[in-house]
Amino acid sequence: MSQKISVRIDGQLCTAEAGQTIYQVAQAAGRHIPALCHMEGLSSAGSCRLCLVQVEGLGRLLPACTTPARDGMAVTTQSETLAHNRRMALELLFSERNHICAVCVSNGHCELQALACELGVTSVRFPYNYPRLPVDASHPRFVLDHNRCVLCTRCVRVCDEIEGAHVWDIAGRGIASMLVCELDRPWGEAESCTGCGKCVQVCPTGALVEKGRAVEEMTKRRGPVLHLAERKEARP
Amino acid sequence: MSRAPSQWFAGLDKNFINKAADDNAGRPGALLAILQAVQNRNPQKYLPREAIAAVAERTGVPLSQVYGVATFYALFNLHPQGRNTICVCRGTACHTRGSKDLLDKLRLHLGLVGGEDDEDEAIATTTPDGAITLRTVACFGQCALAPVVEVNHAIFGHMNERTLERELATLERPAASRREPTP
Amino acid sequence: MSATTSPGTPPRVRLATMWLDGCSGCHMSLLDIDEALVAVAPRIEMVYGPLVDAQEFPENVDVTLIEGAVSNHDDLEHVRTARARSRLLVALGDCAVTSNVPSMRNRWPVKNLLETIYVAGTDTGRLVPTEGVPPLLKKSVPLHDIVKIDLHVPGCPPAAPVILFTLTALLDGHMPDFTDPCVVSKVRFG
Repeated sequence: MSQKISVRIDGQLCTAEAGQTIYQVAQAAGRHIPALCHMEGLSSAGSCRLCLVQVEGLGRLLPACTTPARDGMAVTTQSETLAHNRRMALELLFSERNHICAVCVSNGHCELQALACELGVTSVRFPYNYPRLPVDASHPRFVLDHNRCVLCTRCVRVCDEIEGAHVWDIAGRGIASMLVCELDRPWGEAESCTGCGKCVQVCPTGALVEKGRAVEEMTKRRGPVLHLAERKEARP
Repeated sequence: MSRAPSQWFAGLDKNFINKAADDNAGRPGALLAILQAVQNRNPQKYLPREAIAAVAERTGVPLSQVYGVATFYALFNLHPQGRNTICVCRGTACHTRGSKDLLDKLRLHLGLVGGEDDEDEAIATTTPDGAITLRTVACFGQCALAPVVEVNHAIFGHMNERTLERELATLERPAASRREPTP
Repeated sequence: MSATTSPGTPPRVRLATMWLDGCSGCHMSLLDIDEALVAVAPRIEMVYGPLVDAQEFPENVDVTLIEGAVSNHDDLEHVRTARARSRLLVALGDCAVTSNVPSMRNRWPVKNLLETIYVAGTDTGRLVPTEGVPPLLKKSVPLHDIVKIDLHVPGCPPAAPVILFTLTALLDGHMPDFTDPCVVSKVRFG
């Protein structure tokens, strides 16, 4: 029997179960919090900083997807400060790699792009980094384009938690961080990859895509992954 | 990452990895301790691909995760290390006292000037003869002595081009005669 | 939108457009506002740009819409002139806003780039052109890296309704809000 707690989200009193994150409580209360690395059915990484919220009595902002709700907590999910910080996080993501939407297969179906519109980002104040990054097209059915990767680790988590293969991980650190396949091997040579394509379907951008798609043609199917996650949850 | 097969690993008694794994089994951060034990065992102080794969297999930790750990920590090397290590501090205090110049001069002196991409500061590069590995560090915590250079784990403060050349001269010859250059 | 030219209406807005390193798609999209042009035309005076004949960028321009990234020394000069002589500078489209496709060359040094295209990539000529073409900048950059930009209108190209929404707002004397429900679904960033 889980313990019930009371949380105030944007002034609205919500009842939640102990252990639920602020994000889950807000979602149940119908409050939308923007998020990029977070995905229903997967564990939380807290890396994108878009779901930052204000907790009353705390001087710093907290990521809603990894912060457990506590009894009596008062949370603000929308404010000028939050909008400012979320926009900045998004602009930093854009400036880090080469997101050239005009020539991207995911143009128009990209969560990064959609968030920019939702949060009213119309330009990036930081100088672009223009790194030279590889594209791995060695897999017969899929492509990994590091230029469009935001290092959200959804692919790492879905492969580990749902498929159970753990083909992907993040190598290096800081600005040099890169998604790697096994021992930094071309994807097509991976021994542990089952070729299920879950990583492709959960990728929020055009970093992991199906081969043979032209600009704007890559739409992703999240349904099967959500369904598998639910069944996994339901298992005793 | 060095792609050439490691002769050292081919000759390594694989029980060493088993033992390192057993010694650390169940302890938090076991993977770090195992990788460190393997690297220390290697006279060239690095983790060849085969060693990472063997640790992954023995511990059951996914390959990509072991690789992620090995590349995250500056402590681990994926390339053979030189017989001598020079570490130039690139912290703020050392930077303002000219550590960038020192580093550039050292690179030139050691022939470690890269191609067109040499603007990015690699964490470690080794001379082709395996004599010297040049590293940078974010801060030694010896800011009062800026600029600081560490030579084979001894700290030298207030370095300039001349004092650095003197240190280099003392270590290159005896080091080279002590051990055979690596192939 | 209704606009008349009867006496007593405010003077026409002096509008300029400029085409830097872009494909002209943003200018096409501007023309794609179709019949709305009829309503907009009486409220503006087109004083410079690829759509009119003026040779010199005039003084005292109210609004300048700039398409394209800043990629060479001519672009640099043009954008600075536009800034000095315009009250409001608008970056129109992704190339102006993010440097977009032109920025795809930024990963290679200019020298290698030109040699790859003009020497290694051709059987004839085999010479990097230097006469009659402005030298390239080291990197192709968005407008706001060079001058202060008052408004960014993203999109590749910005959809015609977004351009119309922008023009209407500016002519009415205020900045457009792209999170407005009537355009938000038509705005694309990146």
